[in-house]
Amino acid sequence: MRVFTATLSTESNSFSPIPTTRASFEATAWFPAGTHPDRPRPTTAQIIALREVAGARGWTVIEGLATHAEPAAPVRQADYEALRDQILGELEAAMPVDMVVLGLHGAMLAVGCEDCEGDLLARVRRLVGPDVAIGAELDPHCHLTEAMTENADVLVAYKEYPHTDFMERARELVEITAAAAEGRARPVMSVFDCRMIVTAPTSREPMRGFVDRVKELEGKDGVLSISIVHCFPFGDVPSIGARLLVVTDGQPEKGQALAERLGREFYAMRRQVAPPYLGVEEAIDHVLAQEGGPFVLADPADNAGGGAPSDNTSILRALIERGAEGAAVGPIWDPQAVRFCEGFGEGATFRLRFGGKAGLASGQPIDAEVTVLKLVKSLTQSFSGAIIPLGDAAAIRVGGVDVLLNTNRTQGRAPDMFANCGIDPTVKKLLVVKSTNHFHAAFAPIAKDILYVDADGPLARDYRRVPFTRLERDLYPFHPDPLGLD
Amino acid sequence: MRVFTASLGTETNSFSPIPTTLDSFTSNVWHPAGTYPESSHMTTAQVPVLRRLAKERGWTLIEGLCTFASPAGPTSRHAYETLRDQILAELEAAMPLDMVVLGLHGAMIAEGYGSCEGDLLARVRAIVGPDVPIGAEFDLHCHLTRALVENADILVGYKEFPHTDHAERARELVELTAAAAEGRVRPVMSVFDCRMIVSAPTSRQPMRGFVDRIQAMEGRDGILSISLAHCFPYGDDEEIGARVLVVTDGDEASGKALAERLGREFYAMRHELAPPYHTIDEALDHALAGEGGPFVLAEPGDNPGGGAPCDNTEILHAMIARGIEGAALGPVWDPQAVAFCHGFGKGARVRLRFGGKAGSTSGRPVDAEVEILETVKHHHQSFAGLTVALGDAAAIRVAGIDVLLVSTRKQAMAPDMFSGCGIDPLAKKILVVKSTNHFHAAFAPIAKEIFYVDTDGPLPRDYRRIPFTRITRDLFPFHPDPLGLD
Repeated sequence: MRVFTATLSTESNSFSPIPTTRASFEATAWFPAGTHPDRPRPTTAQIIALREVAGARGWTVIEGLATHAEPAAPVRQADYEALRDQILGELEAAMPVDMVVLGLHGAMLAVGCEDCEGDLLARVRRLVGPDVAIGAELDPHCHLTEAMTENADVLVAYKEYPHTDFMERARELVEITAAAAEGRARPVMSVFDCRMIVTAPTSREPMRGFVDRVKELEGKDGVLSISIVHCFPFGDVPSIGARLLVVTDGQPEKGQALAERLGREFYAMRRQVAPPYLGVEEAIDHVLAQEGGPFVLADPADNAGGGAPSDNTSILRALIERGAEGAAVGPIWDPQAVRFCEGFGEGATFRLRFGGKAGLASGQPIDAEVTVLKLVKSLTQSFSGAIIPLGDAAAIRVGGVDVLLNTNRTQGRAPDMFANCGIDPTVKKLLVVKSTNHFHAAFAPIAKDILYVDADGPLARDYRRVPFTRLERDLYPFHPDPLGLD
Repeated sequence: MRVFTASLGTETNSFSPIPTTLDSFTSNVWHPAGTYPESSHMTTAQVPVLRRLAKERGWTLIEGLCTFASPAGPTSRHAYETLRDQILAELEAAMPLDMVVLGLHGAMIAEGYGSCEGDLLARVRAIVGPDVPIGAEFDLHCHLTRALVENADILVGYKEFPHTDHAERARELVELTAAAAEGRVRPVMSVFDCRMIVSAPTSRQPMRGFVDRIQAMEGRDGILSISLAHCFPYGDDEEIGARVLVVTDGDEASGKALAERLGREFYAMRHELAPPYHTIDEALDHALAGEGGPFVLAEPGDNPGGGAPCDNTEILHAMIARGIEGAALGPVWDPQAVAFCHGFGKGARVRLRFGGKAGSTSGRPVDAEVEILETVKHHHQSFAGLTVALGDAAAIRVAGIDVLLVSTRKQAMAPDMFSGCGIDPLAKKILVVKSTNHFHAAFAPIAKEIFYVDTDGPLPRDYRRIPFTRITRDLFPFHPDPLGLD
């Protein structure tokens, strides 16, 4: 069997001040055909899953371009089209193929294209024809459009948020797509539109139990796969919203009924899925009043993984002004400040302006006397077996607050981002992490408690504050009960 | 005759928030031994002169490292010692020699060193011995320290500010040093300390006439060369201050008398040297009330040629608040904003945060909806026959104001910095340029009138506001009349 695989992904925030271009892909994850390393990234997991089984089964796997850009604004039109056409050209050169397995995100937008994955899948379908099986792995923070479900045979989204299960989902995707290619299964996809915009960490109830129940339903009674699409709240597209996707072995009616049943269950939890958010001062008060640590404060509103600059200064300023001791904050994306720290060197004390530089929602920059604790070239952090680059970094101390400054904009995912830059996270009273929930997997084991803070970064926690222009149907929370089920 | 040459320079602002490291040299003017290009730079002007004469006269020219860093904070000890020792090693390898001609600045300070040039010249002298003439060209914004004068045979400073005469001074320096090497003259240097910190553009009176009178004295009555060291006001060096240097052919007594006579003349003009400075509103009122244009407003307080970041926003905020139309301003150093503009592309309208990022004297960043007028890779401007790099650049329009953003920190030197990036300077009513006076040479021919504006940038025009720590003698303007001549 001949298999083609490629990855093209990013999560587009329509409101981000940061552009996405070919250079953004090259700077984040850029593996031209055949050069993907042994370790997967979340959206390239299918490449590793295919390599795992190709030898034993005698498959010929043709790897095309695999690339991912750190979330930001919609991709520049010419750059999206060039990347898409490069992959299509590689696919054409690989023909004939028996199956195509793609690593996508599902929330990628380009200027002039509101559904990049739908566009790409439609073009792949046109090239390979109706009889070649097409499978794709998705991020649950996606817009699941009709163009996507019509042009793919199997779509499988990560179940976990934090997305720690990208490899398991990739393996399932490869197996189901291969079964379809070999005529052992006839996957049919059924979708239910939950008409809601939500954030739904699976690290807490009620989502934890819901995901576990959904998993129990898979692999029996003709149910091949079930994906819970959470939606991505900062994509300004008509297709935005949570959905339930059920893939059955040729049983569309059963699939549709199950999608609806689970979709209604998901919908009924809509007011409970998000964690409680505290104000900046409230969260700091709460932590300072308690013994021990470290307390982890997440700053989801400035999550680079959602297209934010990761340089908002609200929490940092509050900590400095209150004279907090034993705090660490990171990552703050400020290449200019990192270069200055490198220039003055480890141990130097000087006045530095840092943070608050990328956009209106970054807050004002901080001016303070700082000491450079440590400088690291090409700092990394771990995430579920993947190694995520943070770029060149500097750990600085401002009063009792240690700050991790970096050059490669990415969210905080694991305490080793601090430890690798000379800040011991385990001895801190409180750790502020710019991340919505991916941090949870690796921070929970060292955290005394985890608090979610609603600061004034660009990713507002109350989605009614997001300035959408393209919504076409009633959606929660704009409408309290769009499905009329209360 | 065997001749060695090299250049090492930067102008050190002791109060700049920007570090100066090895990278600051290698990423600016950096020509390792023998790789010097055809086009020259100010502090390397002696190289093309030596090449031409070497060819004509059969000299053997050995070229060492030629490097210069954009003005910023004190050079790191590591960087200075590395560069110095490299040049000294090249010098040693070139021995025996008949003369040494160096391109220096004269206001370079490194960690652990006062005058770098004094240290370098003393080490050069130790290698070549007392009988080999050493000549050096220097910038008139220098600290003409005892170590400099003691260890060189001939020092020649630029006479013009703007420094348009670097090549002529280089020719004089080389001729005089050669004459000394060949025993045709016996240069003796006499210095008078004017005990003042001043800024003295030669593009206006009374300096214009003073420089012209001095030039008329050279080359006769045993006077080989006369230099005015204006001083560099932001170097925290105990030997800071203006001086007059007279080089005679072995006539120390008359050299000393002439230095003192000219020095007193220079001193007597101390209250009239600087141009009048206007407040922002005064300057804007003048320009708006005048017919035609362009009126050029210079902002010396944020001149990167003096070590400022070149991203202060005070004038820009004022112009936006007043709704000024038909204005252009630049350059503003903001690599992040330039990268965003290149990412979004020409013609895009975006909300952009720009300026106000490098330090506490940069002011608040500007948040505005902007139109991207033009993006240019590797932008540059001209200056007295040289090409000066500005890095990647973008022209943006904010209401009625066009702003030139650059990624290489450089002062405004010529209107082609605007015209090369899609802004027609001739069509503007007002041009705001970040520069102390180098802008004057190329902007004066197109300017209806020129105003100097005092802003809250890091280079205050009232030198009494500079937080010096190393001044040990009475100096104007801290003392009204330190020489007691009023």
